[in-house]
Amino acid sequence: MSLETNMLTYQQRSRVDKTLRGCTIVATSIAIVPLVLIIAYVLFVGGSALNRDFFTQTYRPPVPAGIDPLTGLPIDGMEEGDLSQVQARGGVLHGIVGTLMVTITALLFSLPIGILAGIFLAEYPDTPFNTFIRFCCDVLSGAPSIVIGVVGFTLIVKPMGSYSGIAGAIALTFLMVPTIARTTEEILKLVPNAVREAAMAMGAPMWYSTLTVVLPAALTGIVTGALLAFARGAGETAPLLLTIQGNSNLSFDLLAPMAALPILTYKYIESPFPAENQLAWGTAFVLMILVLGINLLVRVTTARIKR
Amino acid sequence: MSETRTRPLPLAGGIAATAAARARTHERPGKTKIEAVNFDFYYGSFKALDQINLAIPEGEVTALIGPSGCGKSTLLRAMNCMHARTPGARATGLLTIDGEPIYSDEADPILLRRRIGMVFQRPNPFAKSVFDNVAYGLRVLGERNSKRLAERVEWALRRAALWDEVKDRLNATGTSLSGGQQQRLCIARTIAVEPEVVLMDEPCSALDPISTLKIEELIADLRGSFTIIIVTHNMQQAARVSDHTAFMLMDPETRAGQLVEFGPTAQLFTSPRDARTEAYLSGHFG
Repeated sequence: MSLETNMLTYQQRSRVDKTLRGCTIVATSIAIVPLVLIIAYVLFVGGSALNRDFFTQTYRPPVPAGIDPLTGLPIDGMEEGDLSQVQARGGVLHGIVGTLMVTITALLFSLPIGILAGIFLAEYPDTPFNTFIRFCCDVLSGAPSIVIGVVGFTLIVKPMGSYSGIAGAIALTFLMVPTIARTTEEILKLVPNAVREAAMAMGAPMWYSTLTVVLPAALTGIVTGALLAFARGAGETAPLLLTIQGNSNLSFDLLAPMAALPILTYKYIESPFPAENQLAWGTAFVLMILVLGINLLVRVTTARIKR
Repeated sequence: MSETRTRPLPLAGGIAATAAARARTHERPGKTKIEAVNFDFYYGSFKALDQINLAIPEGEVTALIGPSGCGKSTLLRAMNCMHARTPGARATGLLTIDGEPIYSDEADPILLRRRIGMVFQRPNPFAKSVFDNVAYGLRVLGERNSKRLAERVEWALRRAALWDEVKDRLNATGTSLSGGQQQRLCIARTIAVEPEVVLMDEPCSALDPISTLKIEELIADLRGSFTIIIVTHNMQQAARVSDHTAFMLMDPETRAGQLVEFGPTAQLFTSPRDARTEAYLSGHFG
């Protein structure tokens, strides 16, 4: 009863195998090309906008065409009104400070809420309320970010009577909580049940075993989730436009309007002056480096723990 | 080893009271520690245990044997309320420890588990240091004094025959030990709080023969200090370590686990009363 190898079928199969493998390689390349192009272009164009003033100065109005910015005197041989001759001055320090302050505040709000929600989702499953919360998280993390902005505007900006950094932080919290809750849930589910049973058999109440055994085992994953949420929050534009509004000056006051890198990018790219468009590429560059850096940090920490 | 047991315990509260209770009961040997009377256990609508009647004597080793699916693990875990988080799991009938019902509105599973420790099939140390693993149960009980903690940890590790192997690396992670050492660490963690009963759910099934031998020696050594109930697939192991053996079998029609025969190990292995026990022991099924 030995089976003979049907050579024809075998050759067909290996041809199909090669074709399909080729398809996957092509599809992957198509997906990667735009990513590489975006990163390369932003690094190339944005990199040239960087200088010391970019990181140390705040907004300063551009110099009118044909005027020497140092002396304030007209420059010979230059046509007045030539926008390409307008020189941008100043930098985006206010945006960097604003982004960091608003996003870190949002992280402080969303970490406790998100982690506790994640614990609830993972450790108390199979209740209708649990299913409801998980559904809400999924809907919220898929909600268009402008909607979050409108909600922030209606709930916080209007009652407060002014745009403020804190309003932006709360709007970002709406976006970050579902991410943190869901990653925390997924990580906690990876903690072996045997560990929970061991603690349970020691007579530990559930809160004690969660705190002393389950959470420490999941710590890296939770930090990863928090960093990714931070990266997402730092890159959001729409919720901030309607809540922190933007500010041309350096401000550390969370109760006042603040600047942020995505908003500066948006404003500078709309500017009629090519020199200010250049600044937009610079802010895009800084944002990109921030997000890439956080993702790299996540990679390195998780890889080290796995080893 | 008996002098370590009768030594006044450095811990106040529950542990000392436990020890006092044990000292009392040792004056009356042959007392029943855990008793099941018409005990049924359900997972949802599925009846996993059917009319279990059994009296487990104090201070001795009782083995639960039987083929896979006969409910021996379910019975063992029921003694410790380990099904508390399994949806749909419920018990009817009576299961008592020292005459107090384990399943009643007044009974608190957390307080119960402080009297009944458990060792699992696969070693499951926490991702903490050896010291913190053994100290875990003591800290659960509220012990904060580092000197007393150190004393108790050393006592438990010596008792679990692990002290000489780990005394120089108490700060190493528990998971870095070998499989057999991890299981003895889990036993040390369990006995550190001096429970009255130690449940063992196939404690050697994930271990090599030498580690298995060490665990069996340890069980023999702990006998008398603790009431030990061990679930095992290995009939030779049951014959080697236990004083009493309960043979369980799944009812072929209802698939519910039933107790076929319970008696002194020597008698059950040499002259079983039930034909099904004899068939199982002689390898005819299961």
